[in-house]
Amino acid sequence: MFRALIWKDVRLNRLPLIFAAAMVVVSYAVVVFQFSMDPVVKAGTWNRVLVTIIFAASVASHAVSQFTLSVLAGNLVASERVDRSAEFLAYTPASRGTILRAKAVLLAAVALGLMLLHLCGMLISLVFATDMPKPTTGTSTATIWILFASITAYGFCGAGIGWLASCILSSNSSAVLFAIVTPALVPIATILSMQVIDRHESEQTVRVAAWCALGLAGFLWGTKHYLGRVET
Amino acid sequence: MTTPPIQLVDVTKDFKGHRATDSLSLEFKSGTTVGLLGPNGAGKTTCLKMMLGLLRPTSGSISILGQDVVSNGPKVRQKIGYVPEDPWLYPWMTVQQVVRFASSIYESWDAARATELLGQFELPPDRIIKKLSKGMRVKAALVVALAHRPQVLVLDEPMSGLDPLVRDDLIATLLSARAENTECIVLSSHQIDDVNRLADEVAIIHAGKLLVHSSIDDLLGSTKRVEAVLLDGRLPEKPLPQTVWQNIDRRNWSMTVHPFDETMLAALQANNPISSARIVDLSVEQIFKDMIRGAMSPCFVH
Repeated sequence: MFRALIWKDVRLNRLPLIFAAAMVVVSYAVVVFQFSMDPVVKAGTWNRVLVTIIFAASVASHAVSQFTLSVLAGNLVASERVDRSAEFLAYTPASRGTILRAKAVLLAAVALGLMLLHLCGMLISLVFATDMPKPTTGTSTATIWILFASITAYGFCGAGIGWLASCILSSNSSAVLFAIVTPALVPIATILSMQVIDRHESEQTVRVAAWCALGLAGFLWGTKHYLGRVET
Repeated sequence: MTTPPIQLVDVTKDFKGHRATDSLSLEFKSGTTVGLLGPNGAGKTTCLKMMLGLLRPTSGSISILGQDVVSNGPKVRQKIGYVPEDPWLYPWMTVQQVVRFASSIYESWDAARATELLGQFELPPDRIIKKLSKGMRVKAALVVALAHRPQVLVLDEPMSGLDPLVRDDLIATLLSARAENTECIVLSSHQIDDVNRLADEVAIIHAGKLLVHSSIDDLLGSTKRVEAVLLDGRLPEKPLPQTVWQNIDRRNWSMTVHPFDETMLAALQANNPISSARIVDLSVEQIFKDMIRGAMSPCFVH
């Protein structure tokens, strides 16, 4: 039963999945095109050019992928309400827990797959950056990983809010909109709230914490709502 | 004593500010086809959805094949086939894909039966559900509902809006399902004609309450209309307590009585100013209408 549910979800979310794959390809293509035009990069060795391109493309693709995860999460549940197939599924012996687990597995698989792809790209470029100037204090490497974590937290927030909105709403486009807009509002909310309460912690730390908390709350609340909901 | 396939005990379902079913108790025996009748908003669909475990009753309990539906919803649904009024299968799937998908959902799926039903209904396997007519969609839903050989079949007005030929097809299939291992069929319908052709029993509900539950033969035998002629300028004095609905039009006094027996006629004539009275047989449709009218307004005087 679980395999059939996964097949159905893959087929149902074909467009967001194609969009996710296309975004990865487009991100890499744009970076390759941009660097091929840069005379400074072109003047370097092949190894340096390759490492620079892979690294930049991985970071760019990782950033873009977070939007595609928001789109997928927002589409996962609500799209079945749009065409009323959620009602058909409700009459079958598939429990709501199993139905939701299949959707969660698909979202997690796509998120992990994309993250691993980008992480591998970044690690490969760091390992092979033998003729690149080494950072003296290690700050640069740390900054790279903080950037990666921030982007991931942004995506987690978008996916969590998308999941929640998709579990609650009957329109997948509204759910996707919420998923895309909410994490983008967090930095503004962070700056404003820090000014109001007059605190001076690292703004980035607060922002990442807020993204993670919102994402987690979205997943938990959405799951709770879906399990108790009646599709009629 | 064997457990009845469907048992509702004192089931009440409240929505926000509205009571859909009110202390409803029903017991459907094995080997029966029950027609669930009621006007729009009577609580039929709510009742069926509670039987499927999709809605949780506010109070009371429902058991299907001896299992509580609230705590065993998915397990119970393995044994139930369901066809709603407007079946929403996956519109992007082909008929074949729907069948394959359903085959992995139901443990007791019978592929040969599914193929047989597809052939019988002349459903094109490669046609996308979205492109099927309503009648074809109902047929596809019936294939899904019957191919796992359900012990209980629940049909929520599946024949509304279908042409007579498609309805005949569906009725023939349902009759053959009844002959197989389906223990109980519950058919909610506005088409009393279809209920007459399929059901052995009827349950009439109104405003969430059960008005009557009986075999069709018993109902026809025990529900009669008495048509009496009143004496000039006189009104009835002592109507029969079993009257479910009565209508007074000048001197003509007609009343539908359930349960009725012949001895009541003498009592009626003795206690009321009437010159003559006769007993009229009623059809299921007339009984249904009179019971609903009676529940809404017991006496109508012109």
